[in-house]
Amino acid sequence: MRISPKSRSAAVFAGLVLLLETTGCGGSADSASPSSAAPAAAVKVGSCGQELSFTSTPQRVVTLDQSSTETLLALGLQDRMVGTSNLKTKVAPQYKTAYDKIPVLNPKILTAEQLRAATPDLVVSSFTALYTKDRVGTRDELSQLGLPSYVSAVDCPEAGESGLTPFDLLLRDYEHMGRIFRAEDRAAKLIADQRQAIDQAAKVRSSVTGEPTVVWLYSVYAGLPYVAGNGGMPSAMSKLVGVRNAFDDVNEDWPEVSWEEIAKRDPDILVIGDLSERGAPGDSAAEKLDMMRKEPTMSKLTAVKENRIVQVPGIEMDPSVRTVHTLGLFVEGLRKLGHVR
Amino acid sequence: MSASGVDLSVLHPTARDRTPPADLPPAPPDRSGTPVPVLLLAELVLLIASVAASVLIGTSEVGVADLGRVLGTRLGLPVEPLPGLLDSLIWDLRVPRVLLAALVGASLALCGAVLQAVTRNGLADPYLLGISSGASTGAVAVVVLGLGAGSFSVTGGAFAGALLSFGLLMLLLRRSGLGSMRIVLTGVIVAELFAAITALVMIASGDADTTRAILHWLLGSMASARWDAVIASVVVTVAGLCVIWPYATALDGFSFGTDTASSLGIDVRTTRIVLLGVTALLTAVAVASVGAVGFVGLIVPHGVRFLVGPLHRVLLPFSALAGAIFLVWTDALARVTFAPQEVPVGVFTALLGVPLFLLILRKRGEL
Amino acid sequence: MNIEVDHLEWGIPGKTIVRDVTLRIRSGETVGLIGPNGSGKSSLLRCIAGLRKPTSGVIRYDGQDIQGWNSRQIAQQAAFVEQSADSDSDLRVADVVALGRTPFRSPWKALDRTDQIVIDAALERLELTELRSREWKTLSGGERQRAHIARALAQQPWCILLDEPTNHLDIKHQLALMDLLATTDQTILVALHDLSLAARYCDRLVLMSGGTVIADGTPGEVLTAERLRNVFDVEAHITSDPLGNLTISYSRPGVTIATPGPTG
Repeated sequence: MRISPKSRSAAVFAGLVLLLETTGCGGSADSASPSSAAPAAAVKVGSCGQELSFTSTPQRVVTLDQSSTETLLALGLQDRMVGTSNLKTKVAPQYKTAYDKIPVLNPKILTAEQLRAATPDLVVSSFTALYTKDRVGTRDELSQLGLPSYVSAVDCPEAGESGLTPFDLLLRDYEHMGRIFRAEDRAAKLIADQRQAIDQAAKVRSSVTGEPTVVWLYSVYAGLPYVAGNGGMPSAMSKLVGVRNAFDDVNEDWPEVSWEEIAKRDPDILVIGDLSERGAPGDSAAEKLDMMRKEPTMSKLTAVKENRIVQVPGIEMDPSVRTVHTLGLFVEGLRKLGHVR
Repeated sequence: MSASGVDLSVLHPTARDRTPPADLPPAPPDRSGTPVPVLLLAELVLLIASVAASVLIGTSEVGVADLGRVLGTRLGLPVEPLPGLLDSLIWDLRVPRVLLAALVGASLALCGAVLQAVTRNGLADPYLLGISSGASTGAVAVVVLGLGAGSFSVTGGAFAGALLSFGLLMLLLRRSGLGSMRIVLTGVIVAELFAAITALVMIASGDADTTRAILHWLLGSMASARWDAVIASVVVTVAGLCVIWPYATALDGFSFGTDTASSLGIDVRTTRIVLLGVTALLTAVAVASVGAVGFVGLIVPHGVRFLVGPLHRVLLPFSALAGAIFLVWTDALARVTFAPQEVPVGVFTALLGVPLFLLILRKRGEL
Repeated sequence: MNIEVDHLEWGIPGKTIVRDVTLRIRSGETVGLIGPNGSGKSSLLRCIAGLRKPTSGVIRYDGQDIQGWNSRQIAQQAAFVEQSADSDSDLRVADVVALGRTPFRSPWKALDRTDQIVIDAALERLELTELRSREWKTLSGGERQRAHIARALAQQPWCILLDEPTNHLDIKHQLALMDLLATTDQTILVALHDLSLAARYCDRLVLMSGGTVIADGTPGEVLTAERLRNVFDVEAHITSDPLGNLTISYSRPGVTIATPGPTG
């Protein structure tokens, strides 16, 4: 393993900090740092079937996907991050400066070797599926190496109590991160901000006329549309504001459906994900719209004919710290299209 | 005595019990001019060197000193151990991966050499004949449909699938004989059929993550190599070689067809059943641990024949060693060519294998 | 080794190919098996070589029923030379001849000194010593046939069964091969198309037609113009010289032998 002198000294430094903290010497060094509270008891956080225990705050975090990366950046934890990976599209502008300072370990999915080479003390992922033998290794393998692995509560609803919406689970992640990093204040602020945005959106429900239906079109892959099914964020956003997701009968986050099936359900509103930053042909909302106008069945759709369309950044349809932004766009769209009294 | 002084009377059955005279001329040299043990030793050294060199290659660089510390720690030598995660990178990931590549390469090359002899077809290969596809279907069925649990049942499913696809192949070829092009075309049909069944099983599962994982694995990937797969592979490969090795002379006898083989005292039926069973098992274990890696079994034995000739006593061990070296290096390429991303090794064996396959076909005048 | 065949029957589903064949071959005899295409010669040879299991009847080597023998036991007694057995492999001539040692080798052992002496002698006997390192694909049809016969000799067999071994051979090697078969004291059963060659070199001829033996005796007894007309559907003229050698001449189809000179 060739470790660059820089990262080697960083590792040594991190080790020293850990040592100081565990012996209690660094406890009062800097009260502004989120790590400095250093209470004697270990922080315990349950994450998708595993209990993670932290006697000191993690100093070398690696994230396995964009949502995790942005969540940590939203909490101002960039100085604890030693690597990111798996960028789906560009990071949100407000996180760009902080993001650029963190090494990108792999622009796509991180490998098991790359994870270990970064010598992290915590791995954060939005999806359980990234912890497999052919990716970074199973969570059991990592825990045997003393490396705690976090999975977003959104991807693991069965671990929490029942009746929680994806939004509740999303906010729970912030709370967990706040406790793990002893940054409870920042987490509390983020939770409060987002909770407020969610409550704001929920208020619309009482004034929505009738029960309009919506289809959330994420992407068109090889001519076949991927839409939001039941259980994902779009479904939750729809329920929140009193709109019915037309594909709520499909128990899959992003089922692949046919154009005919969309036409049959003829939704009042069509939400199109814009993935233009991803840069593949057909990824932008404009291109998708253009394609639907040319497509024989889709062009007859009421929403297409009457241009009852809301465009949102595609990445924000997945659970992340940015989802509330799309929730806002959706509500705004409902108002513009006259679904709100 | 003939004119050249050769005693022709030894050809008579009554000469069987005669002891040979002491003043025998030395045996004629091998075709390469180099004694076989020397070649074998050279290839073994080359394999060990390849394994050692390949351990140092990857997206995360490993130095000789790091490797030394990891091995030293394992051997209880007084060296400073590497930090846990770096130690794990080398010992839990890199080392088993390289060893598994060597074992799977050896296994597949051995299967190719045996299948080519048993079917009397130079184009036989577990991948080309659809055996790998059958094994994949079996393994996928076990994973997706949850028939039993653990890696043993995956191997079991792969074995059942391998046997099934080979049985189907033989059934389809029953009347038409084992001509080169016919066997390849029938193999392609069998492979397509099992690929379709695999797709069906995957769609039926409806789980995007499972589907993704299976697709990656179907391409033949070493990324999930761990020690448990290495140990299973060592046991089966060594056992397979031990079973196949005594049949080396019999495989030579198959060169002129089953009647000649049988007239030479070879039990054709038993030999076929044992060897096809062993190749199905070897393929199944290889597929269960790394997916369907193609073309190794096809091209390696051909290359080795150029070097040491077609006699199986020599061809089999050489093919195993050469197959190991081949896959160790192909996987090293797969790890670093598109760094920081890794390419499934099956993609690389196909990229290298297809042109060589065409070359073989052309050389045989079939294309 | 003497061979006894009693009431042998063999066939494929729906068709009997060898029917009720009874045959005695004495040790050291050279017996020619003749008959038109499809008369069952090859099948009979394969049954006697243990390659086909008879549907009924008995085959004995030196009085012992070979039913239940494994192929190795049979291969240590009898060698079999197929009609133009071909191979895709790059085996060398010496490798092919070495295959004849298979019945005597243990699976673990390489060729030993005894094997090497026998192989060298077999190569020399068929004038293949010069060609010993040539690869199979580079050989002519005749050279391949000789390699197979050398391989059979390397088996040190008590009995050699050959199916049309003179095919592909030029006349010199045809005569050399027949001379080899006639002079050895190993038991020989050889299927032949060339009746003159069969008549000249064999102690006895067995004529097959329709899967069964219709004549068995000395060449003079078996080869009569009437039999050749009935069995082969040819007009033949057979003469015997003072040494007992038969000469067979055939008339062109539609041409009567008795009529001298060309006819319209």
